[in-house]
Amino acid sequence: MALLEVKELVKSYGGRSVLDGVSFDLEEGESKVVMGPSGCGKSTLLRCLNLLIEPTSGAILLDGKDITRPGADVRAVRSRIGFVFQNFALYRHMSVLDNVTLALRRLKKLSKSEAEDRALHELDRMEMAEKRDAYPAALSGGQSQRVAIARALAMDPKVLFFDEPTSALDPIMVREVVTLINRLYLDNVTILCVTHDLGLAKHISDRVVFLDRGKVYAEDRIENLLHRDDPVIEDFFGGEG
Amino acid sequence: MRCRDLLASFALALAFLTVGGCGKKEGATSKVINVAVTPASPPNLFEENGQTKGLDYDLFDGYCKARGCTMAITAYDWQGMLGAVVSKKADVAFSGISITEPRQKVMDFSKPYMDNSWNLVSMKSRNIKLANLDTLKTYTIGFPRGMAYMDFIKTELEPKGTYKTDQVKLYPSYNEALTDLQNGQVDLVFLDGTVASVYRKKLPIQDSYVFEGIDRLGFAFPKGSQLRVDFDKYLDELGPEKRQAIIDKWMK
Amino acid sequence: MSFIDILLTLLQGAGYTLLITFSCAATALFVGLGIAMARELGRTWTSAILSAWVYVFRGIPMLVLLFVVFFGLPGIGLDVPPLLAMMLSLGLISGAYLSEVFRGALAAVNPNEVLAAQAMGFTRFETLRLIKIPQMMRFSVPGMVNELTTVLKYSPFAYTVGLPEITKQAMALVATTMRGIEIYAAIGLIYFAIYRLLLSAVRLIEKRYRIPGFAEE
Repeated sequence: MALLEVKELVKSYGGRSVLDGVSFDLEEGESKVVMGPSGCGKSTLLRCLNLLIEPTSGAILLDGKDITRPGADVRAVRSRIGFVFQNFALYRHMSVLDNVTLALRRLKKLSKSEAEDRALHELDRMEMAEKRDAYPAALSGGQSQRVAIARALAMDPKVLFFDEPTSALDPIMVREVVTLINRLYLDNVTILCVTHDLGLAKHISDRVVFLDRGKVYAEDRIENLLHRDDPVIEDFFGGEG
Repeated sequence: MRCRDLLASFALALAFLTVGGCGKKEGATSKVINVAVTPASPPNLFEENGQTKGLDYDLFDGYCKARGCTMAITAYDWQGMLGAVVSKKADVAFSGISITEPRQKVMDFSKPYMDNSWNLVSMKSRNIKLANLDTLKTYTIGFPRGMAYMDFIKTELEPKGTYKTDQVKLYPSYNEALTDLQNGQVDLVFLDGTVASVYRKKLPIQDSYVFEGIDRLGFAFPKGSQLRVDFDKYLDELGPEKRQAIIDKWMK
Repeated sequence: MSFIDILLTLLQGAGYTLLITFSCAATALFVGLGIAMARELGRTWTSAILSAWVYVFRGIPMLVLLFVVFFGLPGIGLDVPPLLAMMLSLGLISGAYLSEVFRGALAAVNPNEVLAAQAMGFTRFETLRLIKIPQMMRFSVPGMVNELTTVLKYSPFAYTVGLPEITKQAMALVATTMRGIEIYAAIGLIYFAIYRLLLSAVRLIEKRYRIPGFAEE
């Protein structure tokens, strides 16, 4: 049984369908990257998987249980999925440490010291422990993203979702973030990452799920995809290889 | 947390107002009468060193001493005072209130306790003296809002073409009207005869014209007040001489 | 009577002015926050009702409402003490204005932060309490200063319903001494002092909800 199974996921707004029957699996310890041209539905896909957006139809199984059926425990689902946003989304009125400990104290009900220990462990992993008392406004983009990742990791999720994690960063920061996510990948963290950054995909994916117009167009290792003789795929990658 | 602070401050405010609100209810031992006044009409009613004093006060104080009750006095602005008695928030109001027909529709008055003149005063320096009312409309007249002069102008002067209500300047109280008089912003100010007697001593003003015999002062009570009946009885008991003595004491 | 004597007599009313300002401001804060939160959490129809309420209360002249509450309600058997009348008029109207300040401030919160909180598993209410309101309070500081000073400046209306605040003391004093200029100058000084007091109170709120990196002075 895979950790995450997506079966014929559909999301439509009015008559327009953004996701038109997406299916794939994610095994524990696996790392998959979702890529595709704009409008293919990749961000929508991610947000459906942790129920931030309500799917129109289809099934999502987390640990074998369908989380789309009515009465599913949304809170429990979300606490098992860590989410890292493109724009970091750090709480600007709280320090770095407080950002990471907030959910630990309120949702996991840890004590202040337990939460701080846990938080510092993850901040250390992201090499941001010394900035524990800084506020988000004082951090660079790369630093903010690292704190955001630590914040997600602190909750001990079963899988980490990344929504375009490097899109808002300049090339130098991209490198520092990719290095750290790669380290997580090597630590066997289960990852599902939406991105259009080829470099990131090469560093952290076992396989790439290629979406086109709401459907899974192809799923394969990145090297294979790049060498595939397919107009749609070649169009997207622009002849890189 | 923030919510707690807020709740605490709100609870504190609530506590304050219940304490404040409770103060005015019926006294435990003697009967407490709620009195509404406007301490801006000397010598009928004014405040000195935090004490309410005046002609009207002495009269009602006499009543209370005779009947064994105490006064709980609340100061309002002029219209608030009248409103208090109409809405029964006060049991009685006095501050040199004229008995007029419109007022009698919404409140009950005691027997008139003194005759009052209405004096149009002006600055001595301008030497305005009116032998009659023919030239009245060439001057601006000012007086406090809510006072009986407005009604007088509307029902007596306007129909005769002597004066128009829209030529009038209204003020919150006598203070402001007199200030404008001194500044030259208004030509004449309507004052109660009693009030004029006090201010003539303090300010360089003189009577330009006096309306006699048209105004009488009364104590104001809510409609259907039993207190009024009893107060009228007291005035009879007091008798005209003693009453005049009190008036003379303040009017000299 | 020296100027100092005048000042001291007037200060007797200052206690009431402070009480009135504080009570009405507290009511306004309570009501404003309540409305802002209800609009955030409620259904469309509750939001519609609240919008109508805010519209009405922002349109009524304060004195009119005060008279209705204090002089009118006894007519239907509801006797309202003067301070409560002030809170139900000035407080409610100010609360309506404040709710709009809060509404704008809430809209200024980064929606991504809200999304992140929800992705963590926080409920709508928890997100409101932990993320939105703390930021909203900081963004609302200028608007709150505005409303607080407005409440202070409307406090003299309390004299109309019999509360002996400073303006009443002034009127009584002018009536006997005729020294208008000195007395109104003295009142000006006292109101200014109270205004400074209120400003420091708001500074405390500002400190409590400080967001480093946002409009630091």
